[in-house]
Amino acid sequence: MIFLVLTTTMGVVCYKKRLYKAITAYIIANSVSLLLVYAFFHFHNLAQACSIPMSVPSSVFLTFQFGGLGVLSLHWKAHRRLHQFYLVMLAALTALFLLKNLPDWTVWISIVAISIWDIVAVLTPCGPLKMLVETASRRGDNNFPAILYNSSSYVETPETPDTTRSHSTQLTEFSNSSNANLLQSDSLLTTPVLPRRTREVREVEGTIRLGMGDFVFYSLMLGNAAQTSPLTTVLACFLSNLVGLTITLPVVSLSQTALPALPFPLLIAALFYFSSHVALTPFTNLCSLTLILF
Amino acid sequence: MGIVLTVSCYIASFSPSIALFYSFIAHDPVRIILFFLGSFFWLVSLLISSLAWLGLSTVLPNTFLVSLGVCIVVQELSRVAYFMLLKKAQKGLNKITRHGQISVAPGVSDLHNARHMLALVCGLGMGVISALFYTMNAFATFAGPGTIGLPMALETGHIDSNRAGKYLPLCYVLSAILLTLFHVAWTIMVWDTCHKIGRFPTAFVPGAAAVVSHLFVAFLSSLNSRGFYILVFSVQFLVLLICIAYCNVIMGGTIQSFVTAIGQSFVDAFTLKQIRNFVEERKMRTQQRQAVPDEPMTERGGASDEPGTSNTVDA
Repeated sequence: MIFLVLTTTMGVVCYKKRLYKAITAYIIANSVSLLLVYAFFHFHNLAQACSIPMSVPSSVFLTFQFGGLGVLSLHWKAHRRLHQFYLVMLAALTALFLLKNLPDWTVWISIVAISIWDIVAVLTPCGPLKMLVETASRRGDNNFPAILYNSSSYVETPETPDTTRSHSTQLTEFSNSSNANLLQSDSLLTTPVLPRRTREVREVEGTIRLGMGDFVFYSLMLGNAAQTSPLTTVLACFLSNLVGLTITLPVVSLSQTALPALPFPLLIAALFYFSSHVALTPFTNLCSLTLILF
Repeated sequence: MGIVLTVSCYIASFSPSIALFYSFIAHDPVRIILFFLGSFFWLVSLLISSLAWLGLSTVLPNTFLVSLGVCIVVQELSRVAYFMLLKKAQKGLNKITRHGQISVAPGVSDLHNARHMLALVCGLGMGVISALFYTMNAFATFAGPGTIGLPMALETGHIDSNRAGKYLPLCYVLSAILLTLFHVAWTIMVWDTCHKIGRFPTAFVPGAAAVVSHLFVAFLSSLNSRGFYILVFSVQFLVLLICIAYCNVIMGGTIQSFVTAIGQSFVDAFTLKQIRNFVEERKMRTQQRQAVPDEPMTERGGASDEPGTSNTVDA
């Protein structure tokens, strides 16, 4: 938690002093390490669990392919769907890493804490993210250096202004670190902190940009639910996440300000998770085990 | 068995919903959002009713049937709530669809013309999520080891024909199909009532029919565990057919046209009409592309706006 605050402020300071290169170097290093190293270990574990013997050369080759394509599509130009796919992969790998190494309660506490931090950081006047947004808009500088999820509007007409704009603003957001509790001595990286992006939700010319940190925490919550409870709970949490996001996005686009996209969907998802353990799943089981339609 | 059984159960039980989804919803983002909102409303209603079940079970000894009734009533109430939300959001939907984006059904701006389509979307959302909740845990256990229906036969030494036994996955699949289609039909009926309730005094008939049929079908299915599952399923499918015919009547057809349409669709499926149409369409499209004359490289005159003369402008 403290790590989070520290690195957010450090990042904003870097940005204010126009240390762009430091930021981009940090981001590139983080994404490369995530995509290569974590992916390798994750797929290795998967292969072990499914009893598929993977030889070392083939796994190195596959990891290199996956990671190389990912780095290329994130930091350089790529097809929009590929870019989005790799952003989602980043979030998923981060969440997997967090899930493997943190106990259950820590995950929940971190989710709650980060929701609160999100609200604080974005809305209150002294929050670093608000400062970031304001300085960026004051400078008229749309080229934030970082990684954002860019979902252009669903219009499929070939609007060249829109696509070029989305290309230039793809590498824009700021990365911070989360994961305050993880400082294992046998961690694989030299910097055991994981990238977390600011959570700005903004609409620019019909494109909606969502910070990567949001995705990490949605994935984290869903992964936690999937590990510990039957599938129906996972479905309920997934749906409530989606609907929370659906409610948040139009609110953001109507008010044209940056809003914290994190707490509301997580709140509904947490509500459904706990109530599903207590009430939903027993009731549903009672009905479906005896083939009674509800 | 294992994972193959699970996958095939999923495919079988959700193919009607996938078909409906791809025909009506997948091409339009607004409808996708409404679909998910429908699922969410059903989920909320299930939450309320399961909390009620929890509360009641501490007070009364045998509350299952009562809480089932409560669940059904709350589901219908959530349908009505969704209708009210959609009515209030009409203006918002107007704004979205007028931006020149992909247009929704030719009148989301006017809930009149598109209300049955929206009812289909919402009903499909509710149906899919209720079928998923019903079957997901069961299908997940199908993927594991074991043979369905074996222990009972081993114990008693003969196959009891009143137990679902090896037909259990089939029962789940049929129930899921029933749930999806029933929710679509009930939503259309209930929304028709909500729409007309202010103006006509007899407008409550479709809604009442939906509630009554829901209760009937649910309590009928409680006979399933006693072994009469063939009878129960056939009656339920009959009720589903009646509901769908009623929805057709609501949407403006007649029973005669309904029967004709069903017959026609059987004939079409038999003669592979859709595949033939598809192939012909592709042929026509390629022919059209080849028929467009090459544009002359010389400039056209300034007044080439007249329709029908664009091909004959002098160089």
